[in-house]
Amino acid sequence: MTTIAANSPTRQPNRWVRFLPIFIGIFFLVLAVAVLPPSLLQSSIRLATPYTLGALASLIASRAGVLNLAIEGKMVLGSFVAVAILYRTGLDSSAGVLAATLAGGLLGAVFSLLYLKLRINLVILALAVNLFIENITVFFMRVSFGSFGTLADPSIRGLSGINLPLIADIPVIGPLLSGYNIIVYISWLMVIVVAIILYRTQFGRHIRAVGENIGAAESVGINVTRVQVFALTLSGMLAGIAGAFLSIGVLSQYVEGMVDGRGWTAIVVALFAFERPIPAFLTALFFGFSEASSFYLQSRPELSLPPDLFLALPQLVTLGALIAVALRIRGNEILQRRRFVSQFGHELGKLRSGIVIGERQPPKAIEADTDESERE
Amino acid sequence: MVLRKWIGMAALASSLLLATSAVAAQDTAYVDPCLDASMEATEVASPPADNSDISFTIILPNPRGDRSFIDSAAGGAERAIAELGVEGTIVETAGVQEHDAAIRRAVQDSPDLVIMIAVDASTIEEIVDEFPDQNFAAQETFFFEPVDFPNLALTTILTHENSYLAGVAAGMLTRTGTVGSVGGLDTPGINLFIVGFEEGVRSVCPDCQTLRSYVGDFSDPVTGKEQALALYEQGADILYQVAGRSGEGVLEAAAETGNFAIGVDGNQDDLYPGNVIVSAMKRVDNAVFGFVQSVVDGSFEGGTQNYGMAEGYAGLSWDVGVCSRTFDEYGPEDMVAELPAVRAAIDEARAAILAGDIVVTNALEEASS
Repeated sequence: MTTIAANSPTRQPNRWVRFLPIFIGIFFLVLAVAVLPPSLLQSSIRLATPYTLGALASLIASRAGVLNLAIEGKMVLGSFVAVAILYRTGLDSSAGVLAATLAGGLLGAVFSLLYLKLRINLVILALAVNLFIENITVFFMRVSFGSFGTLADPSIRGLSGINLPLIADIPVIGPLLSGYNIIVYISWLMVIVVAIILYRTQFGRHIRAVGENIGAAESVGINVTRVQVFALTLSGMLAGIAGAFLSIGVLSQYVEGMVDGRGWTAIVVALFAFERPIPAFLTALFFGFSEASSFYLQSRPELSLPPDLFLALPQLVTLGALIAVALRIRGNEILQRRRFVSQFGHELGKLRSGIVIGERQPPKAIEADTDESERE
Repeated sequence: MVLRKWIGMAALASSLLLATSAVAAQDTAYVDPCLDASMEATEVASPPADNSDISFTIILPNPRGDRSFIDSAAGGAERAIAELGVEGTIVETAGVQEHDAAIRRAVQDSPDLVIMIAVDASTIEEIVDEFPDQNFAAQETFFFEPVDFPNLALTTILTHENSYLAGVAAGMLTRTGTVGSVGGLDTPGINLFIVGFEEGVRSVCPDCQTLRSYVGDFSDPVTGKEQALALYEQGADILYQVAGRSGEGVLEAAAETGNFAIGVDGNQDDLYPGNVIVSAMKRVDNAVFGFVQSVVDGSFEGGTQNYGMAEGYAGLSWDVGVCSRTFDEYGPEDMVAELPAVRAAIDEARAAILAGDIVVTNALEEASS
């Protein structure tokens, strides 16, 4: 069952191309730490956190072969549940994080059951979930809490910042790494956890196998249902935490519409990072940074440039990111085609000269060896 | 004659004494009208008249809960229903995509008046033209060219003048010499507030630096808060928020960092007591009430009206009628001690504006000219 994609010693020279975004990211990170005001970078890291978590949620689902467009809805749910629980129970704010995680996970599990058992179209299901959550939160806010649009109360306490004991004392980067609330640290931890799950565990290999080719994975005995339920549940939990970060991490209130498309941006972040956790983290930081700098720049009177220009910065970055992704996909296709021609060119030549089968379509990659055996 | 003179002086002295004790031992002769019992607004407790044959429908541009002009409009509608005894329907929409359908639906019931809050000008023009027998009223909509429909009453509340007064307060109370504004979008409607505010600041503090930042969205309090934190970081200690629900984040940033903010549209002084100094109020509720009142009176007529501070449609939360004194109670002592002087300066500025001695820039007119 050797597929062409796996048989690739010639990939090596192109390695630097694949890691180029990472190098660029690290370069910008170092530059940023050296030059920019720490408050800007702290703001960037806070703004990047929902993107990091959302992108992880998106990529873990995509890796398991499920397009999860319901990140936005799950974030809304998480942000609402976190505040609602705190308002009702008066518990410590970490209970809000836990509740948001569970709510997101539950929604993810329900989502996976609807998809796997009832076979509802994923895009339609995701859009339905987004709309449903957006409106049901409004409904509950009115019916259960009697408030319109904003759920706020002095009793709702946001998460407080945590100073990491040793790290906070490091001269330059200490203040950048310390002093955030727990969810920021969870997001960093989750980047590593998701990376380990995907690349270092058997289960992770199963996830990737299901995402690459669901039929092939099934045929070698991988429990596809279990993998996809797990991935969507984890995805929901991550999105739920991301929502909690907005409502009780940054603020201490729920405001209708506060997620404001961040779930969608997170999907772009994951796409840009080619569905890999660590690049996704760096991309999220870059997005957070572009947002933070957009308002640091526009409030500088000495620049006297139209603020709309800076406000469009995150959108321009997103557009640029999507173009870069498209170019990379196109570039990869061209590379693969060349590689294919260089490896199998002589066989293709034989095909063309009409030695084998007149009417058949050129074989697909996965069927390559069956075709060969047939020929022989 | 001498005796009468003495009595007069004694009366003056005692009133001064009273006034000073009332405003926490200040040496200014500012009399706080809100603490003067005789000037308290008297509630009209008359039973609602029965006008149940008159009906109106109000279309809100977004759901309630902005704690700002939408809530204010809904409040005005509720007051009209309660006090005028009319039949009223409050329709909340989820956003601009629903406005057209919601208005057309309302017209189906042919109420005596359809009130549209912050609906896009082109939508209004189309519908008003299509249903000439239906009376409409619009508020918070800016037409680039003057329109004249006999069945459309259009009211614009100009908020540059009360923003100027808020600016006077900010300019006098700032400790760092830097104040900022956080707007929703860089549009003439928002800059109307900000330009007025900045002129007010400069009028009392010519050296003060004014910063501006725009969230780019009216429902993103997360970015609103980060922007406010950035402005506080740059040295601002008082921020004027003109950003709808994004402004919630600005107010929260003020409370979190121990800085100050100025609320907008509604009375937001109580949201973060001691951190919100004052609110520049836009009395959309009065406008809505006025629309309904005009139908009840039979005085409804089409046309465009500009209202502002002079008509009581724009003001501060400190003004008589609202009399918010939350900051006096919760604010830091040194700032509270300055409040009588600030209020005196505001009254002076208000009188000068109303008399035409101070002309505050109207960013809306600037944009259209």
